Amino acid sequence: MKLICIGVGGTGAACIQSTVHLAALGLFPHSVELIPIIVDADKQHPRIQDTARFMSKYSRIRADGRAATVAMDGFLGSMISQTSDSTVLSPTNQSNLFNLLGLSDRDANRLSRLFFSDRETGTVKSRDFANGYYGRVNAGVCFFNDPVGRDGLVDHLRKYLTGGDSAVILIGSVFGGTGAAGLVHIARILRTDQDLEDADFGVAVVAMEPYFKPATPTDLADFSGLINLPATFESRTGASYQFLSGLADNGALPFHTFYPLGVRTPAVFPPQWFERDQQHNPPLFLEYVAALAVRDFALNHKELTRLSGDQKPALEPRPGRVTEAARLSVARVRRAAVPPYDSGPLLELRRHLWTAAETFLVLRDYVTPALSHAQQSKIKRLPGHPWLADIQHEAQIEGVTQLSGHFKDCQDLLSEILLNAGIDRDSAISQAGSNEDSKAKADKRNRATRESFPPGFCPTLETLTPQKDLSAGDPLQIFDSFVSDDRVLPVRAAFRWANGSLTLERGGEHKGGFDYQLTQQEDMQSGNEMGIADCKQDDEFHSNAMPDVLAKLAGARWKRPADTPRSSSEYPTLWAPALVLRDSLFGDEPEADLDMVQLGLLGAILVRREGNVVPPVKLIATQALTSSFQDSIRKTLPLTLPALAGITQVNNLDQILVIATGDDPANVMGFFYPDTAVVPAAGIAAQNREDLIKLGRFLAGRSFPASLKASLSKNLDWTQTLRQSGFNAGGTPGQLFLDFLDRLAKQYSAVGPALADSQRYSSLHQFPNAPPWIQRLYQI
Amino acid sequence: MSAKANAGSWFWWLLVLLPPAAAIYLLAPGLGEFEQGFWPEFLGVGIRGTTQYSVFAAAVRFWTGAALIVATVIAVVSVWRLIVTWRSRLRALSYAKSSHYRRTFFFSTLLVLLFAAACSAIVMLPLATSYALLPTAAWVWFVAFGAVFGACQFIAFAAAYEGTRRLFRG
Repeated sequence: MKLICIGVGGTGAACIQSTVHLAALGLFPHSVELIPIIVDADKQHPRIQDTARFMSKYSRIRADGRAATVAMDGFLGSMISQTSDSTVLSPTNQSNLFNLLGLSDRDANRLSRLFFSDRETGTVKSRDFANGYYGRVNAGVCFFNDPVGRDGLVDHLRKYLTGGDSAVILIGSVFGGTGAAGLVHIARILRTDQDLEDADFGVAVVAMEPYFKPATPTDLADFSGLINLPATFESRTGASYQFLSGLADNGALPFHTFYPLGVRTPAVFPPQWFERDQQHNPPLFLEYVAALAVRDFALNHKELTRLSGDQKPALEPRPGRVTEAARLSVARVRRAAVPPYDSGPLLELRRHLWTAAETFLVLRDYVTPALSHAQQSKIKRLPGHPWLADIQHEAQIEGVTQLSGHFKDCQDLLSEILLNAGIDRDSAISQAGSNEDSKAKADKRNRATRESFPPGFCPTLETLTPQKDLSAGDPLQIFDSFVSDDRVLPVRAAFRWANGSLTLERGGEHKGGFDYQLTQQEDMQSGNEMGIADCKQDDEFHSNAMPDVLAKLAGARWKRPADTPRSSSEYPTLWAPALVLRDSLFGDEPEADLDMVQLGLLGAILVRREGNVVPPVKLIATQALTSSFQDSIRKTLPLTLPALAGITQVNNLDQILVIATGDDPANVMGFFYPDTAVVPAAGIAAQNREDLIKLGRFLAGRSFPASLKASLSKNLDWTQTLRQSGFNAGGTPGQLFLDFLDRLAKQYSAVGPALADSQRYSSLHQFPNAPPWIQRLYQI
Repeated sequence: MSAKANAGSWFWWLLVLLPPAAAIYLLAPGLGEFEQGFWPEFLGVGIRGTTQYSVFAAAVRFWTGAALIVATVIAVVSVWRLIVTWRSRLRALSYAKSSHYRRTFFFSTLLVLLFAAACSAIVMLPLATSYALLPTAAWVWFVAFGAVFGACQFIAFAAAYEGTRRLFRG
């Protein structure tokens, strides 16, 4: 099968790196052809560069060994397909929202005010997003809609996805910027692409919860210039899970399998490592667990996606396929790693890392010097070491030069793997250069990597004794298993010998309870434990209904600093202001000003004001918008029906109902959204906001919340209207909005006579195509 | 693997038979001018044809045989020791500790030569009193015969055993 493994953002790239390393070691079955791709704006990031270089080296070694197109089990056996120009893709060529969204156009500018402030959209020359999205997830999704990057990705993947058994797995963080923006969106792109309509492939997502944090205080001033403050990592994760849970409730999840991965105790880094454009985090254990998730999906993708054989569902229209994926979806949850690691995926991982370390030492201290001697002496045989002549005979090669190069390359390859896993501390420090600060940093990085692994899991190269560890093997037979099927890759035989000779000690005994491989545990351990009875009995990944898991994760305790309110930047959708507003209005700590803005906005569209004949609602066509903007509006909508967000279908052209008092972009005030009925624009002018607050206060004193609630409860009530419109969010649709009105009615006592019905607009007659639920707002 | 599992490796064991065959030829009674074997004739030039000669020849045959058996044991033990020594060096998985196999091999051959010579000399002690009249050269030849025989056996065993043969060849 072809497994397309897409790492989105820096964390995704780090996981791709560990995945590729483990694939090189042979952790994946030979039937899996791995196609790793990294999608990130920052192509120069060290981990991305390292990964690309490693893959090139891997491919070259296999090509030199006449095995470029051969799939085998074991070391160097996996097919890892890559071409130099397509391993790392950028979602876009643009570096600011202004150009991406085409904001020199007036309508585009007006619409952009709904979702972004002026400061966020920048100017023609801004470079705010040149190297990534730094936590601005809502902006990130727009960049992922740039046709340049999107088409490039789909074009690149098409040949793999349409060629038979294939699957896609996406990896990224849900607490950062690029990953949080791209994970769901790339899945959606692939699941809804017209050219891939007939392709039959499963999609999985590996979501990395926060697994590192700064050592000292979360003083926000330390991170000035960053949007994704480390202190908000947890709350961002919560926001992401809430978003996904909402998608699940709406049947809009575009993937089949979900792997949430986190740690209870994040690794601790110095605060300096979090500075903008300085992020070069050391590899951590969870990235290897992510690689195990990739392996799990590779092994079980048919069962997990249920798209094969008789169970294959009939292909439906594109939106339906997304719904089908949501219906069949499962979350794969596993327990945290505990000793003695003697079964399941962790045993495989541990054994491969130990074997890699032992093989590296055998090559470094024995094989390479021997070949170097043979090369210098210009001899073809090494008395005392019969394997050299045997290898030459078996591989049908003359001379020692080629072999010597092969083993040296493989030694370098293993060295990179060991450095990444923190096994080789001395090399990490020596490669840092002669500067003492660099050495100290390298030492810290190495320590962070080592400490992230469970105790006793990984070897340490400086204390490793292959003489003792490999004593079960006969050193004369080190290359005896080398056969012609290995092509000219004799190192495979040495790796097999080391693996077979390795006596791996148990990793200790576990005392105490078991955690999930998740950040939050408290909310799950009381009562219903994710619904998986045997999850903690072994080391495997276990399936559960994805909506249930997402609901639990979304409802878990995700800490948020007291002075950092939920922001639009945390949600991977252009429509984030609507979600943030919902959190605020319906949450435990509502803000009085926001309540009044909301009430004022409702009043602005429902209450007649002097000089206005019709409500201040405009219809803005999206026809002239840039493709990125159009797709951002349509494809990141967290609702199944566009009409629910005030998008009308007129002559096949999408148009959006916008609340605005005039044509000037500065007059844009909000938009319609079913959760809260209306949403104040993110870029609303300060004066307009003040006016809305004043209007809200006035209306609160005129019993407007109570009268609005009363009118929405008559006849076909608000809940039924929303349901009839197709809004089927979990629970009772619209009830929270009615509760909000109720709360305001109780909170603000009347200071004057209630508004007469005649003071309200009775219809939105100038827009007969407006969705029914919007029309219902006007029925008194 | 064809190179590793040589189908004709049994042929090499015939080498082990060559030194004993040569020894049997030299010692076999019935051969030689006095029909007591070539080796007694060669050693006892001064007493050939005397009444003591047949007793002398029998003793020489017996004690030479004993010396050669001891030399063979030394050769076998040395081959075994070479294998064990080299394997333990290989187990260090360090080329610095496992280079110069042939040097080790020839050094072992020299040791076998010396040990076999020493053992042959010891074996000759019972003959010393009774045949003191023999020329010194005879004693030297006796010791040398045992030493060379042991070395030949050592080389033959090393060549016959596939492990040591592969190690030598490289």
